[in-house]
Amino acid sequence: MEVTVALAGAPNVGKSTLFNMLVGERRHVGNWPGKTVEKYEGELEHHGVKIRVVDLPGTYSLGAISEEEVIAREYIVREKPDVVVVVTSAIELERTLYLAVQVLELYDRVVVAVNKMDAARRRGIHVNVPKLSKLLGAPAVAISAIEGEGLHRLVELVLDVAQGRIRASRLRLDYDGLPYFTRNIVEKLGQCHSLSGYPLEWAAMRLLEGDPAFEKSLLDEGCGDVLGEIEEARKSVERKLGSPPELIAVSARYEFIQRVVSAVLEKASVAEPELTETLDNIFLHPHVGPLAALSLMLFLLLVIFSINTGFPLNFIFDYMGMPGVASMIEENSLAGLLSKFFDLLSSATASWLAALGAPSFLISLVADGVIPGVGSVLSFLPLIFMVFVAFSVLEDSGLMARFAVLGHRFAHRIGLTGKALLPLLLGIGCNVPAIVGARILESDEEKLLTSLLAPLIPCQARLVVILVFVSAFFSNPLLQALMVVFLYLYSGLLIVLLSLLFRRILLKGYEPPEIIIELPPYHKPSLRVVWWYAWDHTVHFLKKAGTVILALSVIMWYLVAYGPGGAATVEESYAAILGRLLVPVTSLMGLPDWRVALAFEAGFVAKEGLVETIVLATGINNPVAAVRSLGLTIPQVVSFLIAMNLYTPCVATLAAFYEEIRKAKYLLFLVLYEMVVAFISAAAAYYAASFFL
Amino acid sequence: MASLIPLSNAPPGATVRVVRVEVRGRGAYRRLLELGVYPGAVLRVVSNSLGPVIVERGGARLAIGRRHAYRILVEPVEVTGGWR
Repeated sequence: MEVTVALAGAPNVGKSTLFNMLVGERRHVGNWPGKTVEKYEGELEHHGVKIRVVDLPGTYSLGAISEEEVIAREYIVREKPDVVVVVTSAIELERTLYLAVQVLELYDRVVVAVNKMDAARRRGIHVNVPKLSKLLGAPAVAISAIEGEGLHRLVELVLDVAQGRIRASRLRLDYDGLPYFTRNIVEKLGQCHSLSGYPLEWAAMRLLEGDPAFEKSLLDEGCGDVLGEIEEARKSVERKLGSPPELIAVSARYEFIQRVVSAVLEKASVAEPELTETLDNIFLHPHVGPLAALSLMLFLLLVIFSINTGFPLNFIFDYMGMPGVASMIEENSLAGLLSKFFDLLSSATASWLAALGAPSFLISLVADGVIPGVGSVLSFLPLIFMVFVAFSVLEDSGLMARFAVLGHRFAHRIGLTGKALLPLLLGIGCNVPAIVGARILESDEEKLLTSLLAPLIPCQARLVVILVFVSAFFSNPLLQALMVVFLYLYSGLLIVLLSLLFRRILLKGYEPPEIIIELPPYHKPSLRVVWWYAWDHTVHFLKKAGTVILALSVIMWYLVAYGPGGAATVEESYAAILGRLLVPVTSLMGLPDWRVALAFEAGFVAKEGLVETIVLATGINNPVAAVRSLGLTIPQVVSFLIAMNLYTPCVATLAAFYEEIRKAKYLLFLVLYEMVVAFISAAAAYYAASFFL
Repeated sequence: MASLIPLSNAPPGATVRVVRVEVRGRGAYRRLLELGVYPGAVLRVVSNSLGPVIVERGGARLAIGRRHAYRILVEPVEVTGGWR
């Protein structure tokens, strides 16, 4: 026998902790069909019964305000799980019961789990669970997911309900005269099929409150005339009852909830000072707050990237005149160690294959194409992993919500919510985690806008190219610094301007979201949840974007190593031929050298390979000397750096973008807009600089 | 009846009762109601400077963007200082 259980619950009730505690290792992450919302599923066994657990998206209600809410209710109605467990929180019982009430109105096989009993005890809150069960008309159980408390009882109750030993009854609330107005709608709905599966009174009430998803499916079905009826009903409710129907409905639910809560909640006086009060006094302080949040974020950025790539510590030590320390940090960073390992592996494999008498094509394919490609994929993994560890800790502890609030002041100017600042800041280190990290954002539009803007942020790899070029062509350190600062500021300016433009042309009707965010009480994150969250996302990245990055690396290897005449030097390779074809375009930016065009090509794959390609093409081993040998004038350097800084950062970013957004047209748009912006900016800068200098 | 003010003008530390929610946009309006900001609900203003207004209701804290807060009309429940 197999039992399917769906977990429903408001955000921050500890639902994902419960899910992970129930299923442990036996879980997988995917997406809801056709959606960008993540879907978690897992399994457990109890007395020989296999229980499949589906974690529904966290939602405050079952209306149609967000995609998550539609997913959750569609799942309950269409898939008819054997049991729905609604998770509520003992420390915020009133607010978290709101969803429970809606589920109970919709479905009868429900178990209510009251979570966070441990935190409630510490605060002197007692919940009378048997009484709660009686008032809600559904079995209820007290649990503490993080402590693993009450889970056995929960599973037993789930099986009792699944096997029909206990049956909840659907909750019927007193809606204060509203049912009078839904009667006609119910009648009409009986002739439409798109909402079949929903209890008709439930659907009618939703429609009366206003439900875009239901309205759309009725229209699609050709049942549009019901909508007129509904509009009429809404108007007469307002006229006769004096308030919009949604207000009456929500008030009726809260009235019921307040009665329940006052009957089951016993609160002793709280002696312990609240952590939330203390921390919020810091983080929500008008002046100290932003400073504290920014410091914490920059500190996280510093730690994550320093461990992974040595950046920015290597630059700091280099500029303090300690190049030895700088290169030691860089070599011992994860990326440094991985690249050393893969260099060794690739030369060892090459000699092993040569000893076996393998053809040179195969040797080169493995040693120069596949192994470095795998290496570059793997070098992203620790970075992605640590980013998601950080995000998960921030989210779970309650800090993320505070950051979102603090950042909102700044972010809403570029059409984003405060939360978007986190992935954007990551972009300074690397654009890939910035785009992968944008999945923490709520609306698809905001994810798209953030992901389109993030690649404009100069990442570490681009900073390296910038530094090589300014040291090759500017002797004055002040000019060098000015050039670097100018490039960062220009990127910032473009982010502001293009955000405006994209919202006009691409996201018509998208309003910069105004936030309504719940600030959950602070608490210690669960290490298990953090580990699993980060691990799942890393594996997901490896499977999806990893394969694309690997394939493109191999293609690029072929283009550089081969030409029409077979194995070739750089000058005769396909890449060089392509480079010469590009020269007419790059000439318009004042850069007629085919080696520069070739460098742009290599930079399309990854900016890390750009300088190396110049080294190969010029035959000079020292990067700075090789770049200097190109003999560029100052306007040419300015033009090159602007173009390099703005066109698509690397194929890994593009792969990540496609995996997250899943629409080819937006990927194409990203590539094209960056090319156009890079080209125009560089050409304009070239002619301006030539005129003034 | 005390005069109504927008929530965005309520001083930190004040306790207020929501009288009218005139937030535009069905989504935002419904979300506010569902999170417990409906006429009759009593809120404590935790912080209100630049950026979103933070209120507390039954132990739960909520950040409401200023544009929304401007359209939530409230009346003071008790004078805890700061009302001018």
